[in-house]
Order: sequence, then C-alpha cells, then structure tokens
Amino acid sequence: MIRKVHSYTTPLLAITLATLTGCISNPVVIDNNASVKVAGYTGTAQNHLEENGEIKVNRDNLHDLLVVGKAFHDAGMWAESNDVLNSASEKLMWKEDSIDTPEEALRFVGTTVTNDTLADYTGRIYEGMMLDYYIAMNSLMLGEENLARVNFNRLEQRQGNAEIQLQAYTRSIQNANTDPEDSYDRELVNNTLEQASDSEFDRGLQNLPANLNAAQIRSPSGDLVNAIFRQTSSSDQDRKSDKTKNAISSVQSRAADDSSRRFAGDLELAFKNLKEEFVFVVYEDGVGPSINEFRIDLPLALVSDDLLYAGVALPEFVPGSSSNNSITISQGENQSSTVLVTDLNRLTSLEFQSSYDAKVKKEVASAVIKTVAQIAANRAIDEETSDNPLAGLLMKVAVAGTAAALTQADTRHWNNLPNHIQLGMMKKKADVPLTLKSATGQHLAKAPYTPGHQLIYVRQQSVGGDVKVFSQRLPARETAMEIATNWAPAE
Amino acid sequence: MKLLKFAPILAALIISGCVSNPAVVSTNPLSGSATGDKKAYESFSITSVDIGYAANEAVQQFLEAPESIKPGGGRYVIAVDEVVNDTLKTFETRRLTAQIKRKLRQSGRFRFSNAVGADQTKAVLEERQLQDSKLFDQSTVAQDGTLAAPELYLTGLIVVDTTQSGDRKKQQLNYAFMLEVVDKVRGYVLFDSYIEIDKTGSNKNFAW
Repeated sequence: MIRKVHSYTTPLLAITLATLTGCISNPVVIDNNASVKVAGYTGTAQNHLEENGEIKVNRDNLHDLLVVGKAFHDAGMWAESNDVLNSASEKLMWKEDSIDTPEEALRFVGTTVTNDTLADYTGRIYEGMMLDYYIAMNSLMLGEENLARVNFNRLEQRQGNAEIQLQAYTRSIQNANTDPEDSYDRELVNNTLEQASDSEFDRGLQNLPANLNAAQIRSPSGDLVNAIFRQTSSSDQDRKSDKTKNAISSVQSRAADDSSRRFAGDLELAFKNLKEEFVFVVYEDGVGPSINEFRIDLPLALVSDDLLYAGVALPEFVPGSSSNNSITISQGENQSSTVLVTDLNRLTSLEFQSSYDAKVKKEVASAVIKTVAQIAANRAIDEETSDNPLAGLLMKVAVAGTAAALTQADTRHWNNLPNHIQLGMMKKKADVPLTLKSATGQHLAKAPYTPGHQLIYVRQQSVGGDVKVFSQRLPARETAMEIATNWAPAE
Repeated sequence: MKLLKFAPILAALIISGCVSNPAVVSTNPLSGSATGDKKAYESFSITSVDIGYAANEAVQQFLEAPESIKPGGGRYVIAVDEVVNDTLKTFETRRLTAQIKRKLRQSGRFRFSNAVGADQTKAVLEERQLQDSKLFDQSTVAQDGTLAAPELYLTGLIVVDTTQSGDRKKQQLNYAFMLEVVDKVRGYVLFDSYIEIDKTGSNKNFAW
C-alpha cells in the first residue's frame, strides 16, 4: 500500500537541477591521467597555469586542489605544488576521532534523500596523510630543510592519528542512522535488503586487497623518507632525534608487506654507516586505484504500475595499475632494485571497506524514499492528466528522470596518485654516474654523481609514457635538479 | 515530513564548518588565557608572546647559573650556533635568539660574536679582502689576527609533543624550549635552560 507524498515532487525536481549543475568538476582535473599520456607531466601541469603564470585552480574545491597540487608535484614544480597543497591542507584539518557527530557522518546522513556527490568533497584520512607527505617532499626537493622538518612532523602526526581516526570513522558511519522515519518505509528497506542477493551488493568490494587491517593505513614510505631526511640532514639535532628510530620501528611493526619491513631494517643498518655515500631512490609507479559506479535494479518490496525507475548506484573499488614492478639503479657493476613500500590500493581501500555496508543500507533507504515519492507523484499526474495521457506520460518520464539523476554514487577520489611507492638504496662510488633502468632493462635516465648522499626521485605513470627524474643532494640546500629522459610529448 | 528530519543535521553541518580550534588555553603566564585578556589571540602555534616569554625565562635561568660569571672577570665571547625548530609550524628562530642575545648583552656578562655561527655577518670576513686594495686607507681596514674567536656557543632545540585526553576530546601540545651554552674548548655544557609551554584545546582539528 503506497501513500501519497505529493510534496516530494517539487523538491525532487529542484534537486535534479542541482545534481546536474552542481557537481561538474574541472574537466582538466578529471582527465589528468589521460593528459599525462599525451602531454607529459610538465604539459599537464601547464594546463593549471594562467597565461601570466599564475596558478589556475578552484581553491574552494578540495578535490581539485589535491589533483592539481599533485600534478605540479609530478612535474617538479615544487613551489606551485606546495602553494596548492597548502590550500588543500586547510580544508583537510579535521581530526575528529572522538566527536559525537563527526562531519563525515553528518554529511553521510544529510545526503540520504539526494546523493553523496551533492555534498562538498571533505577528503579521506589517507588523503590527509598523502597530502602532508607530498608537502614534505616538495620542501625537501626545494632544499628547504627547516620547512621539510616541520612538514615531516605534521606527516608523523597525521600518520600517528590515522589508525584511531579510521576506527572512529568506521564507528560513526556504521552508527549513522539513515533509516527512513516512517515505519512502513523502514520495513520496505529491510525487506529490500533481504531480497537482494548479497553477491550483487558485494560487487563493490570484490577487488579489495586481502587481509586489510586498520594499522595498515599508515604509509610506510612516509615514515621511511622522514627517517632518510633526519639522518642526512645538515642538523645534528635531526640525526640525534628519536624520530628516526620511531619511524623505522613503526614500519617494522605495522607495514603490510615483507618488502617494506625488510627495507626498513636495511635502512637502519645503512644509517650506522653514513660516512659512506649513499643514493636513495623514491619511485612512484603507475596509476593509483579508482572508484567506479555500478547500478543495481532493486527487487523492491513494493510493486506498482506507477513505477518507472527504482535502483541504487554503488561505488566499486577498482585496483590501480603498475608500469614497472621495480626499477634498477646501477653504478658500474654495483646495482640495486627498488622494492614495494607503500601500496596505495591497501591505503585507500581501508576507508572504502569500512563504510561500504553502511553505504549500501543508505542507498537502499534513499531508493525507497525516492520510489515512494515517484509513485505518489505519478498518481497525482494521473489524476491531473486523465484527459491527456501523453502529457501524463511525459511528466512521469520527467519524474523518473529526476529519481534516476539523484541516484548517483560518489566516485570522487584523488585520481593522480601512484599505484605503488617503491624505495631503493645503494652505496655510491665517487665520480661515477648513476644509471636507471626499468625492470625489463629499458633505459630510463642517467643521473650525474653528486658528492655526498643523493636522493633520486622518479615518477612514471605508464610504460612508454613520460618519466620524470630528479636528483637532490642530501642534506638538501638547493632546489633538486631535473635529469633529462628520452621521453618527448607527441607532436 | 521526511525531509524535515534532515534539517537539524544540515544546520549542524553549516555551523560545524565554521568553527576551528576555539578556546586554546596556554600555560604561558603572559598569554591572554592566563591574564584573562579576552581580546588576546591564542593559538596552538608558538606566538610572539611565547617567544618573548621563552627568551626572558632562558636569560633568567642562564644568569642564575654561577657559571655565567666569567672567572677572573670580563665578558665571555659567545656565538649563536644552531637553534632548530622541530615543531609543527614554521617560525623564525632568530626571533628567539635575537631577544636572548640582546638581554644577555645587556647583563654586562657577554659579548656576542657575529664572525662565526648561525648569525655570521659575512661582511666581517669580506672586509679582510680589502687589505690589498689601494682604494682604502689601510689603517681603517680590519687586519688579520684581529677577530675574537668565541669562547662559548649558544645552541638549542624547540620540540613539541602532542597528547590527547582519555576521551580524545581535548589535545595538548607540550612545547619545550631547550637551550644550552657550551664551552668550546672542553665541550662542557656551562649552563642551560628548559622552558615548557602547554597549550590545550579541542581535538577536532590538527593543531597547525
């Protein structure tokens, strides 16, 4: 038995317009990865500059800030990247690990009658960590040790807080009440959930990495690059600080991959021998994970001839893709390969997994509310257009279109992160250049020897695509130098 | 109406978006929260009031140490070495050392050298290059062997630890200003100071 809720029709139409107009992001931002394939990292970053060189970004839009900030970072435009990422940081300050009604939960509940994409993008816990990681890396590549120290401290705080924040986030999302107020509608939601097969709803989770746990939300590369910075800093205070030891033990006790834990141990040994010169390699590989939308036509526990659309849209986790399993750095006969340290699939999927069940329930509740409104609206249309069935049909199509437009999964995510962050290191010989090759032996770049410790930073999104290589002397006192590669943008 | 159910939530969303780290309370006795000055600005970061307080306290602790009086009289020559800011927010550490230098000089026990160290005035060394110039009256040019090497070095570190209350609703930032004066010959710490400032406030946002 369906009841009348005529007053839904107008709000639904109004919200449709908002849906169609309010969620359009900068197309250059959306197509960032495609742009890198054609124009390379520098060409893509140039898209975010005005003709006079000023940065072109919507500073009210966190999602755009993250993508544009990373695009500048990938191009080696460290100062521009920090300018943009610092704006993003102001929007990602929330810590909220104990507040009764976190903003995320409020946003979650508040968009039940519409959809998540209508709310501002508030960011993810892992995005806060990666944001501070890139700000710290930018400072290091700019040769600004004082700034790098402060930014690595912020990263350390974020990382330290992330696990408990994830637990609090999970709790608040699961406790968020998205049930319809009306008991009849609540019953419809429960019946619908029972009738829908779990496997259909679980499609969104099918590609998640195995054995996830909250402790793995900490990024090992953040800890280990922090440790490298401390031990190669020009300040004695950095080398004496407990922060190196804390970073190494955090990776050894929490990292998901054996390779990260082993590398942390190797690094600890290397730190005891820093009178020798070392080269450290940070390699950002591939395209990070993404989120797609999939739709399910609901076996709604309500049947009506007046119904033209009833379905839910859910997010589906899509794993990232790698370009190289590792890269090799060599100097004469000496050579060493990078190892996986941070798997972005693991990092990003923790929040996705923890909120997924609540999202399913919310979307079903949303579908029920919209369906009840749709049926009521269609009955009203029938009454008012009984002498003109064609006009009535057209109006019903409009109502169904509204419901369909409002059914939209939130697929926003930081889409130009790498798939993996790999680290490597090797003892250096004096005056011999360093050669970088892919795992398949393809030449990537030749970096000149610089006295003292050296950081080589490599970014490659896809095989055959642009490769960016930078070399920074450690301690970092000047801006890193870019190393030429063979890649050139298509004419 | 079902839509009305969400009105308070949406209102709370709007309100909550406008609030950031209100009411930080500091243990610095000169801070607005300690003096009751409601118009005074307080934040989780190190403020100019904190720098002034730390400089004053450090100088007081230095001067209270009997080792700050040079045996046999006269003034120690001291140079600033490295003072590292290892906190969550950048600030110019010279704002701290400049105040310390000024107050110590005013005590009549110290002379500060800018010939070496973090505050080195490059012109002092460059001046020596004028020794071969015919353009300058050589009696007015600084000659070799005239610079006074410092006897002591001032060095320091500013750190912060963050802790949360049991219910995780409050966070406290514990700042420590650790300054030492080291005898360059023996390497002894001649005197030192340790000043703490705690800042407590909401745990809603990160404190930077």
